[in-house]
Amino acid sequence: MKANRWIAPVFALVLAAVLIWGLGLLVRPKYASGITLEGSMVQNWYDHAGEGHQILFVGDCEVYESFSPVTLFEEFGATSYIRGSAQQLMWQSYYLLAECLKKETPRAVVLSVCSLRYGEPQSEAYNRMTLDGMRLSREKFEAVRASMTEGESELSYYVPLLRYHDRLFELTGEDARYLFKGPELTFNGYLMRTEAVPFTRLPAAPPLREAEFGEKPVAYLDRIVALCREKGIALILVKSPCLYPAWYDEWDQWLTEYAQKNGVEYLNAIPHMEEMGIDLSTDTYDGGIHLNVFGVEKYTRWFGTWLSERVELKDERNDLVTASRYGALATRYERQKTEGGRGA
Amino acid sequence: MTFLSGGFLLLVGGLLIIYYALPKRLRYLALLGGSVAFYALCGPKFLPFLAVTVLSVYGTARLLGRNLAAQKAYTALHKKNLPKEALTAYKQRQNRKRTALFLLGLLLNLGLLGALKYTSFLLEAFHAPWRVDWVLPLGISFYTFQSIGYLIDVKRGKYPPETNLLKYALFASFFPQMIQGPISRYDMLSKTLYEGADFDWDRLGRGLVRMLWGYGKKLILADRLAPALSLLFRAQAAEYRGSWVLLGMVLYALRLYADFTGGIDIALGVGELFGVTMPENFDRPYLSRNIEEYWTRWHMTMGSWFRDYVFYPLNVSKAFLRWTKGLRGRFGNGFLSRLPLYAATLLTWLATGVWHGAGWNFALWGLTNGVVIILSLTLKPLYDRFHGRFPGLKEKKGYRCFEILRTFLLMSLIRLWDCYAGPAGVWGAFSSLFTTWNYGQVAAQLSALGLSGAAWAILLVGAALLLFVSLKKGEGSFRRFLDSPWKLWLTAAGLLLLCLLLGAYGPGYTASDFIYGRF
Repeated sequence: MKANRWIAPVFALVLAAVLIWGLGLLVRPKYASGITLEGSMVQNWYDHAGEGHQILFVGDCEVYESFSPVTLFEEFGATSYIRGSAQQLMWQSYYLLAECLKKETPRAVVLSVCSLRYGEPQSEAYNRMTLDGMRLSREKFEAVRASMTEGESELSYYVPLLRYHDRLFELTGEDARYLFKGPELTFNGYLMRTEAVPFTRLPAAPPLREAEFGEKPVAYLDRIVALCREKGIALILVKSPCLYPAWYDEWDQWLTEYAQKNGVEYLNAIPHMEEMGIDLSTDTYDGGIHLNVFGVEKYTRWFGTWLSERVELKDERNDLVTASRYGALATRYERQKTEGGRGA
Repeated sequence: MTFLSGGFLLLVGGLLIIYYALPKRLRYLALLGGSVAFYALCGPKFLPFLAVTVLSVYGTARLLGRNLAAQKAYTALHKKNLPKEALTAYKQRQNRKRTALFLLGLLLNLGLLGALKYTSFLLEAFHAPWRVDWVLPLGISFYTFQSIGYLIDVKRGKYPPETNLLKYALFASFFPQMIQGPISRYDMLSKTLYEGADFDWDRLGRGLVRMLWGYGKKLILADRLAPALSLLFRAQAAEYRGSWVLLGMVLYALRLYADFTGGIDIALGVGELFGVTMPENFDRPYLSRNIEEYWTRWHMTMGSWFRDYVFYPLNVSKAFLRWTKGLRGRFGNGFLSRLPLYAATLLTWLATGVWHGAGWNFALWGLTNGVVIILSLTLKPLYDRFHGRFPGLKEKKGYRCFEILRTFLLMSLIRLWDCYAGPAGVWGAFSSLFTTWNYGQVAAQLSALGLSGAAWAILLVGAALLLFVSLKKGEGSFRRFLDSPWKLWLTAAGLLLLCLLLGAYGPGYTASDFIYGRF
């Protein structure tokens, strides 16, 4: 009997581990409704990882609320996916991209440069929305280490129960419904907004403190450049037509020189808004900060033309499997566009 | 590093592997290494203070032991060939030498503790033109007292001094007891500290259950209450009067119990993982029927330390015995003849208060305890006469409950010294109990303390569980229940889940240090 003394502790350990994992699934936020739908987006990519997208968008709201993969497919036949999340910092973009490139090799990577302004981790809540959805991998481990704000527990990124145990008394039906798999609220990473709140006035831009970006985001930008070069992928640095927060001429100049030096493309789309046909009285959902679906479609059409002049895109509209997939996506897309609302 | 940090758990886990991988005779070295690592991780700058205490007490005890051994040998050798007076004179000389040596060791360590702990307070109290801002080394009050207790015992010849410096260093610095005790005695602790335990799943499970029970008390109850009590006693103390003070007293009693006993459970549980048995520090203190009994059941190792090393020596010192004799000669056996006993009681309690910290509140807390104990001693004949009139009343359940409640409230009242800033703050809160009649408001405004309905429910169920366990503990039914390995390990798993699920930790909570860690 003595020899079997280890069975009870091992059983208890396994049971505890399973329950900690299960309870973690239950209490972690599902981001299925409310104002933080962005938190569900990072994990959605895993369901599309094998689709072999031609264009991969990476970055913050200036990609996931600026480009429509449905429009890109309908107009140019190019498949695409947006790996974006709220306030996605440059190092998070790097690790998310590195994770994507293990599964697929797109023709172009379009990277939002807006987050270059952030030199250090900003907020635990935004970190969570980006990193909680990542599956366990070396990329996640390094992304967590690069992103943590002061006082955060690293372990809690891998054991959600440690972070979200307080939600036990706030659980809703959504927590059971999305226990194992989160909701699919986007259209290949595009989070649709249909409301129109016209542009009136934005806060004045504060004086620029540093003409150059921080050491850390630039180092990760360098790593993104190197990663794309190594994989033979065209890298496009993009500043979307969002008027706030301010984008300074000095930053624009810095990126122009950086792009030239590194042999990558840099597009500042703000000066091209008229050319795109964007009307800020109808094409923005929050007074000029982000585009609504109508502005997004205009920008995407213009960008698709711009991109196809620089990167050879394949027209896949005649591919039955791809066309069927995008057809289903477009049906859902059109329904939401008509019915309105946020997410799908 | 605290018991609540991930680093502490990693240290314990790593140490367990090293400990059981080493040969039995070397296992104590793993514990010493772990203790030094723990202390260094808490703050390497404090290591020299611990080293001074270890080396000075070890050295002094060795010299005392050597002197005693030499005296014994000399006496045995010359017992027959030297006159009795010469031997007595020799013994007195040696005794004086030992006393001088002992005082040197004692003063060095008490001086170090006193200088670090009280200089800042004294400079401020006497309005000195300069100030110091010294950080108190972790656990200095605990390891200094444990070391002094050892020195006194060696001086008294209770046991020979430890000859192995490393073993002594481990006794003085054993890491689980560094934060808040218990204050161990060498003759008890050394039995299991050095012998090297065999690996045993059941003991490991018992240690783990004890630790998790402690973590549960700390995380689920004490830390959940901490912000609300901070609001009551500090941030908005002036607004929360009357019934809020009463509520605060009760909640603080729960928090202090959960916090302190929780910390001790963790310390004892860690000790058990390594087969080390440390003394229990609590015996269901809130079930005490009077204050004297309470102090034999709360922080027992500190209470017995002050009893054995301060109160008794003071009470039987030549000066006090002379004083008692003189008073008896003049006033008979009445109240006045007991003045030396009362003085010894008050001095002991003053020392106990001051041991807890530098501040008037601590001193006054100690003196209040002393005064209440003296009052209850003085009024004892009155109680006896009362119970003589109503024989059997003491044994009635209702009366026992009354006594328990009375003692609980009395101790909670005395603890106001611990809750409010300065004597004026304590007096203001105390007097409001009788002058501010807002007893109807509290129930309606409980949410003002920032605790949700779920939090109140957790606290109520937790407090009820603590009471239930206290009542059952006396029957030993838990020990019997945990004899089954399956029940033991499933209890550990259950407690772990409860801590993780219901604990107050993570973003939005400020991890509270253990209250007794401050002392």
